[in-house]
Amino acid sequence: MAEVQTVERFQQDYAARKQHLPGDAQVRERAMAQLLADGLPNRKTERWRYTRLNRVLKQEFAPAKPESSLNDPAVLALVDQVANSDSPVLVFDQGYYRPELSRLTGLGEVEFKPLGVALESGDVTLAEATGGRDRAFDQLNTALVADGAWLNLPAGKHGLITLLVLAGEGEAAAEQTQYWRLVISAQSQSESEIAIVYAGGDLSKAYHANNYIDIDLAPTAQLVVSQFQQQGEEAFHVAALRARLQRDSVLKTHVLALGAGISRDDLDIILDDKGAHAEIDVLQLTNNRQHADLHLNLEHAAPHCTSQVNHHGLFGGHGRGVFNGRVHVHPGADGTDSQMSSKNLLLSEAAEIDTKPELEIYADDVKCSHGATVGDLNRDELFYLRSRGLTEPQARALLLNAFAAASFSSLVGLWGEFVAEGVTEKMDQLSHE
Amino acid sequence: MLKVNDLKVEVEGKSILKGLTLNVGAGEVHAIMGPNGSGKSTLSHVLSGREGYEVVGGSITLDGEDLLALSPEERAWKGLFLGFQYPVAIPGLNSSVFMREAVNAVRRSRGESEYDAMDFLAIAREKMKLLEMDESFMTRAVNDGFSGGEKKRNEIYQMALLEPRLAILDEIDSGLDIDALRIVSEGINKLRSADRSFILVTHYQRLLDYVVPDYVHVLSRGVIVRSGGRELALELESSGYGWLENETAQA
Repeated sequence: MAEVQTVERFQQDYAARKQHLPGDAQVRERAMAQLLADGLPNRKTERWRYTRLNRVLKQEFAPAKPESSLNDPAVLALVDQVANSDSPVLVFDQGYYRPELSRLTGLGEVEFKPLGVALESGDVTLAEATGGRDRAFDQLNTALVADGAWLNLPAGKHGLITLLVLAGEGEAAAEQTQYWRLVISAQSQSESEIAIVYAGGDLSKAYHANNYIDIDLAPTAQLVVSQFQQQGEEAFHVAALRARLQRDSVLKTHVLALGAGISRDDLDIILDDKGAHAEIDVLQLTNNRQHADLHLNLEHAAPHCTSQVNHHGLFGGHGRGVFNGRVHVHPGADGTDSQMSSKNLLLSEAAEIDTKPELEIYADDVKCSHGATVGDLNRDELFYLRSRGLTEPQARALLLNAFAAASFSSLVGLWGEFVAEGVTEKMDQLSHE
Repeated sequence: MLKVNDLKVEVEGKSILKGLTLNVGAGEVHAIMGPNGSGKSTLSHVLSGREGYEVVGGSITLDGEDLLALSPEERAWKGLFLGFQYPVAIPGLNSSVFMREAVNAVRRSRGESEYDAMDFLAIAREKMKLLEMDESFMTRAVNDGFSGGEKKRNEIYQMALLEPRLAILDEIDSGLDIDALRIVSEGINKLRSADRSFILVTHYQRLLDYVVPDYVHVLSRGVIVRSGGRELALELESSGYGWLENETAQA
């Protein structure tokens, strides 16, 4: 019954707002109809079996409104901290673009529009939501999202573009569902890097953040997309990333999940034509009663595509992690080369990880490997460091940092430092009991 | 300086070292040779304090102090260094960060001031030159993606930074081509001094053409069966280890 009520509530939200939502109304109608038909994930939904939403769905949150709630000087300081003064930073407050806090310097040839504007002008349309209970949050995002960003990346090498997706502050921003979407169109011969920070300034409040990233990579496009998630510990964070890779295109993506009470990332990546390459680095760092879930669906739909997936999980206190990495090699996708690893360290008795790499192969000539480990630090590594004069606690601290750093060591400059500092800070909080 | 007396060591209940005695004086270079399974690596590991080895008899002292009572890091602070046969790769751990922490840990233990990033950089550069190493080593993760030769060179580089009084090099020559062997050997030779001793553990005498030892010991079935000068290594080169079998059989 609770579920029916929850769906009805979302339906009411939609009914109340749909006249004001930008762009094609039909796609939203269909998404809402899909949600009504399929329902929300429940205990029997396979892809949600390790992440229970009863508590979260009981919270009667209304969709966020485009009213600013942020402490502007603090945000401007964050803007300076995360990116050099000559590179662009786009700021979003509860899902809505805030031009007065953003900096467009250095965008160069890159075309940017707030999503609401781009939907109205017809530059972009919302992708059709997929059916199924497990896709409920995508359907919701499609039905209700009002703003976000559209980035069109033309041929050429572009500098880093940073997006700060902030949950807002104070009571005004609490108890809300915040919808946000990023649509990226990477053109042939483009080379770009996009950094996304999700942050909840006032860490004690509850809110839902529903995010969706839609990426299309034209032939030979190269793109790095990093998501650094530092939501408050009362938050429920979902982020879908859908990417389609055309011929010889390259996507490198990082998901660094440090925050939220419950976080759920869904990566759906399709290697759709020859020579496409995807690299996926995931870091889950949870503590207290935090729960981080990531489901990856990697479709090798064409021959001679390559992929590499590295998951690192570090769990302290009662922290939990879920990693489900599915690689699906389609018939005819010969010459596929796919590697996946999931490495996990449990720092306390109560910490838990459910990890499951899955391979489904329907082609003959493929090279696929996967492996998962769960345990404590490697004894040989500890001894190596101690034999050089480090005490055991020093050696452990260095190795734990190294373990986590493997997920983001390719991120450089101010952005790399920002991420490293955030991770180190989180590592210091991890409870070993 | 180092005195190993009648050392008996078991691994998982199996006797590996069966009464080994060895004395290493200041500035001396000792080579320990022997066939596979003779206990060479066990000796290296026990000296450096690796877990999993049970000392059931005998003693090891360094300058009169009981080495077996010390943790691996305390041994490093006393000036003991182990060059690993198989150095571990640690993705994500920057080589310079690691070595600066290590050098400072050793310096702290001696009551010396710690190096800041700039001091360390200058010293690291100097040592890298000694080993003909590329500066990119400093920004790479520890042994991650290193070739066999690079790993061994990295061990000698670490030794150069830590400036030990006693270096145990466990099959430092294994997996090296002739150029890498030359560079590693020259590195060791440059670090030889009147107050620094070496134990070279090796299967082959090839290394000893480059790093000429003062003493050569032959280890077989957990005991030193012969000791001599450099000529003993050459003799082994021509006769192999086969004679050991006969000698032990006769004994």
